[in-house]
Amino acid sequence: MTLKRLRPLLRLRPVAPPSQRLLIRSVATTTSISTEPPVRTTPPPCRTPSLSAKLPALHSRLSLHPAYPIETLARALVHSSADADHRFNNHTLATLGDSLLQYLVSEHILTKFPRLPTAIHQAAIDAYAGHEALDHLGRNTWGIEVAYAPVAEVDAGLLQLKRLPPGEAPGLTPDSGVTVEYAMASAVRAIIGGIYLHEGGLPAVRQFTRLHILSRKLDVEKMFLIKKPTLELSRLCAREGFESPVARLHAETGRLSSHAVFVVGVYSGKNLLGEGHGGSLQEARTRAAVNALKAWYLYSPLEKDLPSKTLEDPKVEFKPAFIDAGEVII
Amino acid sequence: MRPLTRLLLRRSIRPTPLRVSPVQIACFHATPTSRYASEKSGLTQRLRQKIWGGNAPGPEDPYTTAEETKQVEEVDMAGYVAAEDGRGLPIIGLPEKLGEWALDTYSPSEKVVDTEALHRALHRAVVETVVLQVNGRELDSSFGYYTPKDAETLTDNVELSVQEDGSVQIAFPQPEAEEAILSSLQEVIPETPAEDETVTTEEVAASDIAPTDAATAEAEPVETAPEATPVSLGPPPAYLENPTHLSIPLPSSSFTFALYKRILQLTGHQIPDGVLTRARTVGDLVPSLIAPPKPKKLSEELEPLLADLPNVRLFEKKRVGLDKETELGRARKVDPKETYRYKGIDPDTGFIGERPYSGKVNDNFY
Repeated sequence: MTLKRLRPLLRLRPVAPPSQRLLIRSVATTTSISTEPPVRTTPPPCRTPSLSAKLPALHSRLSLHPAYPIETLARALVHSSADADHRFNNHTLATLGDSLLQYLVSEHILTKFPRLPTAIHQAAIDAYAGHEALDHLGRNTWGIEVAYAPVAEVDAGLLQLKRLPPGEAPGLTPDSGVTVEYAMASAVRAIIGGIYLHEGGLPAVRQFTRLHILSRKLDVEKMFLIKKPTLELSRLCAREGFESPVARLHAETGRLSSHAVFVVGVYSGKNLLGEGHGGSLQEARTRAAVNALKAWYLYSPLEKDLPSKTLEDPKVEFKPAFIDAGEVII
Repeated sequence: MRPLTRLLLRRSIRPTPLRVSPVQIACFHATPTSRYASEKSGLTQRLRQKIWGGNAPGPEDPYTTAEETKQVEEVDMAGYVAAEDGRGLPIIGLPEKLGEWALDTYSPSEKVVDTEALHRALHRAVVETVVLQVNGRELDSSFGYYTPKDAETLTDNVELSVQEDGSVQIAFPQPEAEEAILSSLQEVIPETPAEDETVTTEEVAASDIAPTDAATAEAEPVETAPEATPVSLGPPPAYLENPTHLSIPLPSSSFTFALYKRILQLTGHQIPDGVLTRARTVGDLVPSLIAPPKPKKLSEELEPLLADLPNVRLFEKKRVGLDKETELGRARKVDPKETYRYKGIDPDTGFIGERPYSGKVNDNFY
């Protein structure tokens, strides 16, 4: 498995960043009194990471290596809506971080659940590395604060973005604002991109991702929505060459009462595929079929090698991952 | 008389002060006082004659002042430019410039501020007062205006201590020290300046070839101030390390007052009466002279510790809400054009002012 090719960067109209815009000013003549503010000779606070106390604190909270500069961390917090110049915003870093993150999360899920249906696989990747997940991570876990507006006096340790006005839809123009969620996710991706650049490449990113992203709990079994479980199970058995599934009652109580409990097992021949309970025989059978399908799709091999292992050391012994035929098509 | 004329006469005689017009009243008050001068032979004079019988004190006409008889001085106004402010104008009434008062004071014009110098002065004062008392001198009149107060080291090595039985012991380094101290406290009254001037002019007239000799001759009668010995010469005296002189009791109020006089003369510091009367030892006077150092502020204590921390930012002023808002990018300058400016109601057109958010003037206030 190889890294995804980096998306080509869009060439936008060159616009001077706030730091440069403040320098490019008409010089007042000596005879007239200038009402404009004086020409700046130092960058404004929003571009001066050394003035911020939040950046070293964030650096320490994330346990970043001393080789990771504060300046890159500050750049990672500047969204392209705050500064259109790609030399000063986090666009490129976020692209790199996003590519790395998507790759590492997808290989983790693929090797862990090789039989997972595609839609659930995508949903699981989003749950780990999507906008909402990274926004929650950045805002609540990492404690990145957000600036109100991308003005010059803003602290360099705040996430800088141009906010989307309420009621508006995000646009595609450079001047349109973005949601805080989107900007925060881009900042998290950019920080990860910075780790790749400054802390020695993939091993550091892998460790960081494992600690911060993949350590989060995800109930994959709750992400299933199977519409016709019995049909799907019978198709699956037919495809795999198993005997067609038969539902057998394991236990029951209170059949004639208002609260009956039936425990049904679905068998393929003599092998129990799945068991379920319910208030009626049908419900119990359905649940048993769902459990059988989940047991199939959520198969996780005990020993697995991550493909990125070979990127670090091409000569290492690699056991290929289990590749499934795919989900059942009804 | 006819009744009508009688009525008319009566009406004219009756006083009618309310009907006097204001203009007339004003004229009445504005009449020059010299009008009364014509009445000197009138009522006033007759009264004076009756009261005093011819020998009346004071001027005959007390209402005419001397100023009125003075002639107004004619001044040449050519080239006169009225001043717009007081800068550069001559100040009349003060022999010296403002701020320069050539008054002699008992205490020096500048207070001694150095802690070590204060301790030295205090020790000196205590030693001198004790020496005077031991020798039976009159304390009340000992320290006068002309008692020398220049720096000296006679009292430096004199040790004062309190014995176990409560008595004060004074130890001199040499036997002659006591006499030297007593003689140093003799008042030295300087010569009057008039005598010096006559001497000077005579000397100058006699010989112009040797001006240096004349200078020395001038200098002899005048009291020359001995060169001030620097206080920091030599090793620090023992009393600075071991201030036994501070535990000496103050035996009498005259002793205390004499000591205070000497302290004032040497240091310029004043001690409040309450402190003087309540003081039992010399050490009780020290807090009035030497204040304890101000306690360190927490910010001063913490600054060296916090300055090295990268995640701590120190500010000189207290951070207020506006600072936080500025940091977040939320603070906005109030645009005066956007405020509602009310300038009044014109009876014809209605509202006068600026309401940029509405284009139409609304006259319907009721």
